[in-house]
Amino acid sequence: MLEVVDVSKTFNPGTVNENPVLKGLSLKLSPGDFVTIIGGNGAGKSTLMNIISGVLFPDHGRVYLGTHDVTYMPEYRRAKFLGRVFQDPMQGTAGDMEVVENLAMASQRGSFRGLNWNLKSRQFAYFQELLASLDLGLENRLHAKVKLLSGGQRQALTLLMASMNQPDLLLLDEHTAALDPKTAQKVMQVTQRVVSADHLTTLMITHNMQQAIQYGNRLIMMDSGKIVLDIAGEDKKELTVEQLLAKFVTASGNALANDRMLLS
Amino acid sequence: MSSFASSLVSGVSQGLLWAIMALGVYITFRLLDIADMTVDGSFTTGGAVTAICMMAGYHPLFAILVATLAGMLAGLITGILTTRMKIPALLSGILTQIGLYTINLRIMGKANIPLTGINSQIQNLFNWQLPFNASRSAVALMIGLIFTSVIIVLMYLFFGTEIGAAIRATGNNPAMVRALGANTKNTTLFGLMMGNALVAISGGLVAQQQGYSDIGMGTGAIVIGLASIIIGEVLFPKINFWFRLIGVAFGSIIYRIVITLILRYSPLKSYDLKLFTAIVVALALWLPYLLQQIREHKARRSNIPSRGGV
Ligand SMILES: Nc1ncnc2c1ncn2[C@@H]1O[C@H](COP(=O)(O)OP(=O)(O)OP(=O)(O)O)[C@@H](O)[C@H]1O
Ligand SMILES: [Mg+2]
Repeated sequence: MLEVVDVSKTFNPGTVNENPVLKGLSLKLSPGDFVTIIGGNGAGKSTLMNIISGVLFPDHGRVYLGTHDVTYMPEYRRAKFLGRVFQDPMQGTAGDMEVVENLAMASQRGSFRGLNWNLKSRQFAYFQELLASLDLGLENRLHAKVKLLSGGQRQALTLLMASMNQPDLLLLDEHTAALDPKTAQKVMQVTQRVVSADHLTTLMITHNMQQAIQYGNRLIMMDSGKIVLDIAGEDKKELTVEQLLAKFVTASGNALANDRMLLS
Repeated sequence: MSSFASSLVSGVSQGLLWAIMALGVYITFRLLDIADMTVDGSFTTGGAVTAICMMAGYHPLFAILVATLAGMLAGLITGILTTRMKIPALLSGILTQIGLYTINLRIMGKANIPLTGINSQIQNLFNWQLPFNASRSAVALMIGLIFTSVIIVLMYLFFGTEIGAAIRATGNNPAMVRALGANTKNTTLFGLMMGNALVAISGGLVAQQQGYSDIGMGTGAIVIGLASIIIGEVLFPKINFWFRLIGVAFGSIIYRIVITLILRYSPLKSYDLKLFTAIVVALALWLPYLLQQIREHKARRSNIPSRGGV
């Protein structure tokens, strides 16, 4: 489904601030995979995701989505393959627009935008049903401005928008990191449900080791621009946080440092 | 009519014609979140193109149509500078505005084209004969009302479409718009073209109404547009998009009435108005920050420590 082949990325090349962030990284996801990624600060996790989504282009290597070589495809064009949820709850929605307007725009992801009405009455029942499934009371707030919603509600809404039209790949970059533990829990439940309902191929960055172990069928650990650990199947199911920390030290030669890391 | 009533009518009809410019500024300033300095130039371009079309004997409505296209072209230039050449939007608008000064002079051939007097055989929208011997200011009122209403309806409809929603969202959250598969370079470009098309229409109508086109007629237009938008937002309820658009037109009318009354009843001269407007807009743009500071100040004063520090 996703194939990243030998990708390198250096920021500010040729200057004193030269920063090689990805160093020949390769990664292949099969359809239906739910992969969690953990790693220290600055390991290059977000950079990898930005290269997959087209926010950044690699210096070297290729990116494939399905049969498409998307290495240099502009961000807005490869959006038809991708659903994305960001760490910042503000980033995934348009705050000055209504809940239903945001959903409508998401439903047009990947199709041509013309002079049809943005809001189509035939979609309302479907949107309401989606919102009701969140169990956050949003189904009664179709016409509320998104900026009036809480961070957790916005993230849940962004999840609905990202998973609409069944994207080939769902990208989640620490999408619960800005939420309080209870809301984060709720958003993770929604995530799990959305992913299993449509068997979405998913790549989820998290700083929460427990989350990384609990969710998904495969766990990847990154350190200074490389994948240092890749655990799948039965091995992953039996994993504990302590084992994971120990494995990291063996693989990288360092203790794992991430100032947002939760070991619980 | 009393002189007060006639200044009111004149203020309203002027306000309606300038409202179209303010609606153009609304698209760029409020929807795209760009302070588009092209406006001062494209307003004059609208007047210049209308004047030479009318001098050449074309129908005054056709002249407005050509002005519309010229305005779109001006917006396109600014759009290319900022989206394709990555020049900051503010600077892109200033560059287009400066360039347009030369182009506007080239279009007109001189700094001022009179459209009345010696040229009185020229057709002018504002010379139309309405039934019941309607006065000249009533005709201006009618024309302003028709143009402004039609444009408000078209804007309301357009910004409810898929592409219209993408343009609105671009000013709000461009990263999201790209993530949802729309090219924000193009939505920005469209918005700038639409905004400047409206500005040029307004310039063309104002030139016809005042009976001349002048190289300096657009100077300060952006500030007048901002003033209208802010007055509308303060005085008019923002219930929905209809109210917002009508509010902008309403703000433009209030602005014109105030200006007309100031000119009539105060010692200020017309050349004092630009400073007056600049000060009013500066104060209005300061207002949200000022209110926030006052709130914080009050909060600090009421936040009295319950016990002493260390
Ligand atoms: N656009 C950019 N320009 C320059 N340097 C960048 C840019 N984006 C990221 N970097 C740098 O690249 C390195 C890796 O950043 P990245 O965001 O990929 O890390 P991360 O693994 O997501 O870390 P975190 O856990 O803190 O989110 C960091 O040193 C960062 O400062
Ligand atoms: Mg990151």
